[in-house]
Amino acid sequence: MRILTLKLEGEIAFWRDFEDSVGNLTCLGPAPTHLLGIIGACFGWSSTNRRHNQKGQARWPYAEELVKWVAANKPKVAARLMNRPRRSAMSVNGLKNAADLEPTRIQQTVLENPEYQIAVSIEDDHAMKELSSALKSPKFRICMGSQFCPAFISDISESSADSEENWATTAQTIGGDSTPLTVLDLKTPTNRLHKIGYWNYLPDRAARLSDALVPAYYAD
Amino acid sequence: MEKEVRLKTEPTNKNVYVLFGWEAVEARPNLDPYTSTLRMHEETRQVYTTDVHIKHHTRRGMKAAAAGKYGREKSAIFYEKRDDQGEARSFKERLDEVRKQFGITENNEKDAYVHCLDLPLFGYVHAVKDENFNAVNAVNTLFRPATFHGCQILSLGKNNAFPGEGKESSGSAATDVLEYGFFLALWEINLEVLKQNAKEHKIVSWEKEGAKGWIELFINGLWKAYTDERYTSATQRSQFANFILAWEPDGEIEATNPRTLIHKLEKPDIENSVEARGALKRLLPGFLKHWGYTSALAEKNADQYLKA
Repeated sequence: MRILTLKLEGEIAFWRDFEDSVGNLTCLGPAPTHLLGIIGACFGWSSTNRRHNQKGQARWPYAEELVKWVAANKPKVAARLMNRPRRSAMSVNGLKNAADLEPTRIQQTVLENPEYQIAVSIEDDHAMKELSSALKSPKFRICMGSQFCPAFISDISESSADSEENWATTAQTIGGDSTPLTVLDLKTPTNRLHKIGYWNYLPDRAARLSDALVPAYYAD
Repeated sequence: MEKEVRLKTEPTNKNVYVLFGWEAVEARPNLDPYTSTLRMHEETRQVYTTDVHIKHHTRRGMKAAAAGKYGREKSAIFYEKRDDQGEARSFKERLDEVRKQFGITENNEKDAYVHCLDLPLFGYVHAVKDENFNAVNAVNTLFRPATFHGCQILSLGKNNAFPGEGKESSGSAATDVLEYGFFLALWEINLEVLKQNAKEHKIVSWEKEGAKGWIELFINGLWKAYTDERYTSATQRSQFANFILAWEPDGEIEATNPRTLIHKLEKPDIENSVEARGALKRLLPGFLKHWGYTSALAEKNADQYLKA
């Protein structure tokens, strides 16, 4: 198994909580779907200026190239915190929603100075080389959850599956500060994502990278 | 009237960077809307703003900059808080106004997207049933714009002019005021996203003006927002552009937050413009190297900081 690891960091992050009805709170780290979005941005797979809500598609579909890449390469991912970011309030003046331009105050929290190590595992050597080179020179600016949180990638290298670190662990039940473990839904084209459990970014003990990797897709 | 900033050439790189420096004197920029207090990093006393705030002001400046070049009737900004009468508008009302302004009789979902000047740069969500699409931002601040130094915050008392209903006294309040701050905002313009967003635009033709036309519009709008088109509110009017510099990075970049320049200051707090400019003359050449700066694509008043 070949595994690529990288460092992901920025000034602020806003990993919107998939299960929060208001959507103004941040999880501690990215879900696999966030990581796939970052990979798509590095390759330059754009979904800008394309229609949503098309019959037979998810409401906000992924870029077609990304879905093809995931289906072809079946990536597995893992992530861990490299520091303990604190949350801060970053409330702004904004609009109630896109369809109603009435001004309102938006209350939200962000993570300050978060740093992560991300691992991606795919089998195909050629695809791995392409991924490595895309990560080294992202075509689009990558972000940590939202466009107002630009991010940067560094320290890209191959890692051993045996390396033991504080990798996020998977659970089926929610716990304190859990991140919904959402993956790309390859099975149902009208679904954007599928939840397979929760990621815990504050594990009690170190785990082997090979044990921490989870499929970033749902196809069963 | 200030002279327009022009790019020396059409950019060919993947990204263009823009560093904008502005000063605030006895100002209250971009208060937290819930607490009505300045945004500040407590440990360093650096005051910061948000991307939402600076983009809002840039939009206003862009409208003024475009009016001089394309005519007022062809200079529309989609995301304006209120209309000329100060009233908020719904998405549909704003869309109808844009169509009326440009004499559009056969409606198309892209009408606002290809006529308004802010959408290709700062993004758009077309929220109409069965027509939904969005455009992502081509222009972003890479970090929250912040002072590169610690600041003195004064607590100033203010007397209200008139008493409230049922009250005898007009009352007073104390507010926090930034005594002096020199802010730095580092922007990234992704040319591929800009091209995708702007290639069908009817006012700023991608074919004729390319990325150069759009970047000039953005830079001049940003400059105007902090010079002769400053907003008249008490929180905004005492802020002034100091310099602007655009460049195409050469080689690898080291993503350094301008806010971290505070760690290179002999003393972290700066109290006036003379101190701030003196510090930037020492620090900016080294900082710009991290971002692959070799020569200016465009600049205004930045020359003073570029001599190492």
